[in-house]
Parts: sequence; structure tokens; C-alpha cells
Amino acid sequence: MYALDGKVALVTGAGRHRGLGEAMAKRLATEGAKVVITDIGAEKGAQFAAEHIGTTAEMDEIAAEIKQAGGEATPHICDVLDEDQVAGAVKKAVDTYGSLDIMINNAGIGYLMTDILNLEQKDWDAVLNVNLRGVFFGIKHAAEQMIAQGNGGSIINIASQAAKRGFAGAAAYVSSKHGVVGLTRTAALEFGPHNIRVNSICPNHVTTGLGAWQNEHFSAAGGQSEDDYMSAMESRIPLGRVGLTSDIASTAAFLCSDQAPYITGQNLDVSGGEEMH
Amino acid sequence: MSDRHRGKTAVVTGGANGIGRGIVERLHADGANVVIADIDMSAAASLADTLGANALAIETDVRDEAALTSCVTQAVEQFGDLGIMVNNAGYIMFSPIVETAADDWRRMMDVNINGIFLGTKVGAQQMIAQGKGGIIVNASSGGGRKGVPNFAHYCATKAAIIMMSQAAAGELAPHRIRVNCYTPGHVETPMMSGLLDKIAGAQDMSRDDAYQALKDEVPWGRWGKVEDVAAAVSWLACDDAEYITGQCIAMNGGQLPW
Repeated sequence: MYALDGKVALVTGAGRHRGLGEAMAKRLATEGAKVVITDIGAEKGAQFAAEHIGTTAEMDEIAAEIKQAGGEATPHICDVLDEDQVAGAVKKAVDTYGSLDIMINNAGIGYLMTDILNLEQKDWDAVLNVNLRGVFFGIKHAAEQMIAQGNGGSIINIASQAAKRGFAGAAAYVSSKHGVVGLTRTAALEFGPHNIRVNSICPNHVTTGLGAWQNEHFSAAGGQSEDDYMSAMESRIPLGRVGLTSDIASTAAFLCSDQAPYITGQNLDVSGGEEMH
Repeated sequence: MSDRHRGKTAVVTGGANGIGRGIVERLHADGANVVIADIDMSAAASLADTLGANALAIETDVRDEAALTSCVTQAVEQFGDLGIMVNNAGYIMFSPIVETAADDWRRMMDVNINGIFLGTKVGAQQMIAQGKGGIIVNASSGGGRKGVPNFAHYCATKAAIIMMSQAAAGELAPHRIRVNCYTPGHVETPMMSGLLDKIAGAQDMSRDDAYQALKDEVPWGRWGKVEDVAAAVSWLACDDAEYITGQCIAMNGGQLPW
């Protein structure tokens, strides 16, 4: 439906089952793209809480599943905190499949959520450096490659509903995602002349692995049962349900297809109407 | 194209020319049965003839609620349940505020915002009665997000459409009806072509220079095309966008990146 045959895509943070990255990589592969999926891998992720870090084996499984379904995928370890590794991931895509046409900067930290008075610099830095600086590295090195190829390209950054409003107890996360919106707009201006479109997607709550952790964390913080917390959330969403990874995956496929040739610099809410600006 | 709208009935107001025509052609190419609702019946009929059996032209003045209701009724009789309502009809006029006659202001409100309200209302009534949800897409504009000198009335209507659509999205979500807007920048249409001389005159430049100046505002380096808008409308109306409501989708080459 989106005619991505022959395109090469790189999706960061795509090494966890149930995650947005996995869903996007699988959808792009279904549409004909060859995908390089990256994640931090347990070895490099030792600085973070183990339950939030995928293992290399999990990423390999996702790549194998894409291949079993008839697609083409290559797993690659990449810590987006390290610019050289991001550049290396772009090189991996080019070495493996010959080019880079689609870059999805998805890797992010959706935990380390603390109120401002108790927020320590190391946590602030970790969230900002992964969620914002990591996206900057991804844009920079993908755009450099796309400019060299001379055929344009599409870059999609995964922002959040938290890019459009504040959330008490999540200052670092909210700040990083607001930053992604500004970065997206600026990159769209800088790379428009090279026919590289840059957009972001702003999901509301999706019960990924990280999303499940957030539900547990925020319901406990609010003294609610998780069921009550989820019911309250659903009642705030005009379409009456939380987001699905498939909602984000189909939007990503659309944005990087030739059905969106004039859409750039946008930060698209995919939130069942919960956000409208 | 695709068959993603096969079997659906789509009504497009102002569907005979310009962006509306592009939307009609795209939805038709994606499998929909299309109703071209327009005051320009000769252009509407000619387009319907070109498209063939699953297209119908109905003379419709969007200022007239009864005419819109009749249009939707005929659409349903001809093709079955209404799935997609595109409220596209509208016009633009170069008119400095101090020179704008009150009647000209009122006429623009009547067509550009009242007409879209009525289309939203009539479309939603039909979709609620059917009980299967539906898609409403309304024509806004970059001019609805940023005021443009000499187009105060147009910008006012296009901003109003965004808020009306957001309210409608919240109100109609329990009926599984999604409501979104599109907000193009400058699009190559007969309507914009007609405006260029006036824009050029106001800035004391040639028509070609005015065209180029507007193009230079766009990071993507070209004017918009009706196909840009039509592709996004078709996508918004498909199941892949089933969680998207209350949004303005801009296809403006990064001109208003916000």
C-alpha cells in the first residue's frame, strides 16, 4: 500500500518485542523496505535498569521474524548516546543494502520519571541525551548520507504526546520530547532543499513494555489501581482507547511514502484525539 | 493507487474544480464511489462523465442545509452508506480590511465556515444513523494558522474551521466518526492562479515574480499540488489512520512548520 520496495530504512530502538520500533520495522518490511534495526543491547546497556534494556538476542529474534515473514532485516547494536555508533549504524545500512532512504529515530527512555525537586542531574542527562541528543545524532548522520546520495529521503522522529503538554513528574521526558519537536522543525528547514523530509509522530499512551512500566509507576504514584488508572486514561481519549503500536507503524509508513511528498516539518498527533495541536 | 476505499461512498463538496477535484479523482482511484457536490454543475457533470459509473454529480450550494441533506440522501440512495464526507467547498478573495464590504465578509463566512459546519452536521447525522462510524475531512488552510495581510476574512474562516473540527472530533468520537482538517499552503489551482495578479499588484511586482516569491517561502522549493492534498485526504480516510482525529494535517513543504 505504501510502495516502499527497494527503500532502505534504519529504525533505532527496534530491539524490544511489543515496542514501537519493532512495529515500525515490521510494517516497513511488509511494505517492501529493507530494514536495519538497532538497539543498545544488554552489554552496552549495563548503565540502565536491566528490565528496560533489550538483549541482543531479543533484537536478533525480531530480525529473524521479519525474515521469516519474507522481509529483509539486519540487526545491529547501536548506543545512540555515542555519535560514532550512530554514524556506524548508518554505515551498516549502506554497507549492507547500498543506501539509506528512511531514518526513524525511535530510541528513547520512557522511564526515570521523577518530580523536579527530586530529579538528579544524572537522570536528567540520561533522558535528554538519549531522547534528544540521540535524535540529533540520528538526523545528522542520516541527512549527511542522504545528501551524499542526492535522492532525498525521509526522516521520522518519535516524539510523544509529552511534546505537546506537560506531565507532572516527568520533567526530563517532557523536555526532551518538546525538544524533538523543535529539532524536527529546524531539520525540515535545513534539509528541505535536499528533498529530505523531516517529521515527527506524537503518540499518546501505547502499552509497550515501557508503557506497561509507566502504567504501574503512575498508578502507584497516584494511589490508584492500575485498572482505575487505565479507565481514567481511556475516558480522556475521545476515541476511547489507548494507542496501538500499529497506529504508529501505519503513520510512519505513510509519512515516509510517496503519499506524503509535501509533508515536512510536521509533528503529527496519533492520539485518538487526546491531543489536537 | 489502491482499493482501500472500495465500496465506500464519498461526498466531496466543491468537488468539481481545484483541490476538490483532485480529492474526487484520488478517492475514485482508490476505489470509492464519489459524489461531486458543486454549484458548478457543468464542471461537476463533466468530471462525473469522465470518471464513469461510480461517480455522480449533484448541484449543491453548501450554504443551503436542505440542499446538502438532499445531496447526502441521493448519495446514499445511489451508492449505499456514506463513509467519507469531505467538506472542501470554499473560496478566497483578495480584500484589504478597509475596503471589504460587510456583505462580502458575510458571504465568505456563509460559504467557507457555515458551509463546512452544515456539511459536518449533515454528514454526521447520516453517519450516526448508519451506526458504523465514518470520516469527515474539512478544508482549512495555512491561512487558518497564520494571518495573511489582505485575506483577513479568509483566514478567519479557515481558523474557525479548525476549532469547529476539533470540537466535532470530540463530540463525534463516541459514534466512531473521525474529524480532521487539511491545511495546505499555496497550491497550484485555478483559484490561486486567479489571485496571483492581485497579489502581484499589491506588492508592485510582476505575476511571475509574485509566483516565484511565494515559491521561495517554501523550504521544499515548489508550490503545492492538488495531488499532495488528495493523497493525504485519502490516507486520513483509510483504516491506517483510525486513531487520528481532531488533527490538522499540513502539506505545505515545510512552509509553516508548526
